[in-house]
Amino acid sequence: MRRTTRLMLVLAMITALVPLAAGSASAERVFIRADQAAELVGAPGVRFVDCRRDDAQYAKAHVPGAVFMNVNKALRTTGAWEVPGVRRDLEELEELFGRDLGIGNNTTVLLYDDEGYDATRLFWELKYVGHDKVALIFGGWPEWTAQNLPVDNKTVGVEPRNFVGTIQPDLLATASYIVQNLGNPNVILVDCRPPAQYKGDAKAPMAKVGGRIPTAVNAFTLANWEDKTYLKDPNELGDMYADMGITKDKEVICYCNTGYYASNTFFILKALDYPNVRVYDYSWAEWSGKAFLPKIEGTAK
Amino acid sequence: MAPLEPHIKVLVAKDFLDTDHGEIDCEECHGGDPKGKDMAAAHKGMTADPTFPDADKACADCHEEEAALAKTSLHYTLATYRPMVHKRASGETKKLALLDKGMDNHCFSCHASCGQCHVSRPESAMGGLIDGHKFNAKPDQTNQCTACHGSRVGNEFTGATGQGDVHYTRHDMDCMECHPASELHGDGKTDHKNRYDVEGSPRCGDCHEPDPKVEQHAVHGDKISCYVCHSQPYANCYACHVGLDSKGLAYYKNPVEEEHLMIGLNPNQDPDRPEKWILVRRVPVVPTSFEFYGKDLLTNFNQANNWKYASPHNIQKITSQNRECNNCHGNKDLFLTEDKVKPEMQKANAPVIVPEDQIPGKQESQGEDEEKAPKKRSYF
Repeated sequence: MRRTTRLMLVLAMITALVPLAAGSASAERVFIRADQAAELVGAPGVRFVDCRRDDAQYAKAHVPGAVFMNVNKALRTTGAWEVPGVRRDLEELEELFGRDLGIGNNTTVLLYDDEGYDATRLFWELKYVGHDKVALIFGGWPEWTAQNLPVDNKTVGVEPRNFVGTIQPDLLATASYIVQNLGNPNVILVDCRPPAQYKGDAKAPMAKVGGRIPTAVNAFTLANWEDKTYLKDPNELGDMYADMGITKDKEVICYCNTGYYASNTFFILKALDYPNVRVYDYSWAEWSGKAFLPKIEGTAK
Repeated sequence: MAPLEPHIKVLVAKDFLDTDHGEIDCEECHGGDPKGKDMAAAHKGMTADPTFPDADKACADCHEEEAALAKTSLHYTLATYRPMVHKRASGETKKLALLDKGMDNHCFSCHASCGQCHVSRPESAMGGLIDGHKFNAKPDQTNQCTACHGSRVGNEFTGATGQGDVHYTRHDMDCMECHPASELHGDGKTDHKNRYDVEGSPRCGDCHEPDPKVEQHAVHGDKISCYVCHSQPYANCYACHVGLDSKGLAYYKNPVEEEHLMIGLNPNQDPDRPEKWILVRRVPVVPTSFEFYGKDLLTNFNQANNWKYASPHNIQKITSQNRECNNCHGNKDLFLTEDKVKPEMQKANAPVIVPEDQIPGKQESQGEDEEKAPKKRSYF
């Protein structure tokens, strides 16, 4: 493809990925088709990030030029009160994104994985530090290979870039924020965990007890994907969330155990054009451990 | 599921001793000799689960009716397994004996005694007391029901796969709400044709009248099983193989599992199940399932169908099937057509296979409906 044509395509893609203006009626696009993304391999200002968990698979084959990040290991740390799996500090993230991934503030970042919920965590983290130009390849790695798109196994040299993060507080919820808004009819809490954990019949190892935050509704995030990386039909999902009272006129706060599944639902709701969505990053791992916070407990101890 | 902690498995809680069952001396149910001078003597004749294989011995004194019925319940006897497997088996006596040995090690290890529903985890889930030896009138869904019914039904019901079943996820109903003691304790019959042939087996209609405001209910009437429109895709296992490992422990290997939903024809229409259209699932058995125990044990494999009536426990009000008529009508992918069944199995499955000319045709949309329909969203 001629360089000029490719640059124009890059510009078109970047424009499509971000809102045209603040408060614009146009929704941001959070997905890019695999074949469209393939046109951007090697394009300046575009960074592919391979978010699969197994670096051996990455070494075997990846999108040409893609850098690897094991999101679960690289991005998450133990936070206050020993709560595991939460986001790192801004300084650490700036270095991770800029130096390790070679992402600058103007870089368009295209993500893919194979488990269906790692790339969405990186999506949220990038949005949280103010980076808007990010999208997921629809269908992820399975779709890329299904379409026989180019792959290679070359080592990717990363040119470090300066990444300046700006925290977006509207994308985060803390325990205090939730307590303040419990019972607020304009705010809805979504528990993104499997139903058995929501009901308290089961609990994750990092939770102190099984149960949920009062008033939360349950929508297990992974049930919204087919074959892990293909988000279900938007009309079906839109109706499902609306039936549960998760509507666009409300502020939606997503939580799970440590914010991972919650980030996945954040992504889904953004794909459905929900304007106000937060992630309670510390999630049930924090909430369940604090006796003074209200809970609906189940039998799992 | 995670095994119970060793100390929990054997813990007899102090407050158990204050219950009616706790007032009974241990040896009265478990045997053994409390006057024995050492462990061997004290444990002679002792049994961990005194309620199997004879429920009468430990329970009948106080629970005469339940004990008598329980001995006929399918949980106790698993009575429908052997006739079905034998139907597919070689008729040779030696081979039948090998097959029976395999079934004893695997299929029949899943029996549930009184104690394994009311006191401990089932044996097939490694056993262990779940509540300090207390006798719970209502079985525990997590530690008992889904300890056995876990990989398919339990996961589908609780939403470990799919969206879960609304009875559980939205209405806090557990297994016992639809499957009470009156069903599970047995109906006294000993000639059940299959697991649905139990008196008191639940039907949707026991609680639900089809909503008259829903056009699809009126249009379809009782031609379609409720499951067809209200289930999500469910697990189908294709090639289970059993055997014993180097330590003599039983294993079950199923290399192929697919989640899908398949509509078939009801081969056993009757007043209880009059529907023409039902869901069917592929059962795990293949001709070599018991190969560990001997070659060519199931030489009459094709004598029985291996796509069977399915009652997925993952009910949702709105599903892909009922969202739009043409998600089913004209959609060959959803119907068990001949091309989806191996040639050697087509004859056996003929009663459930849907001939292509019987697949309900696409519904033509009315122009006006298209105008009224909300604009479809897209991710792109």
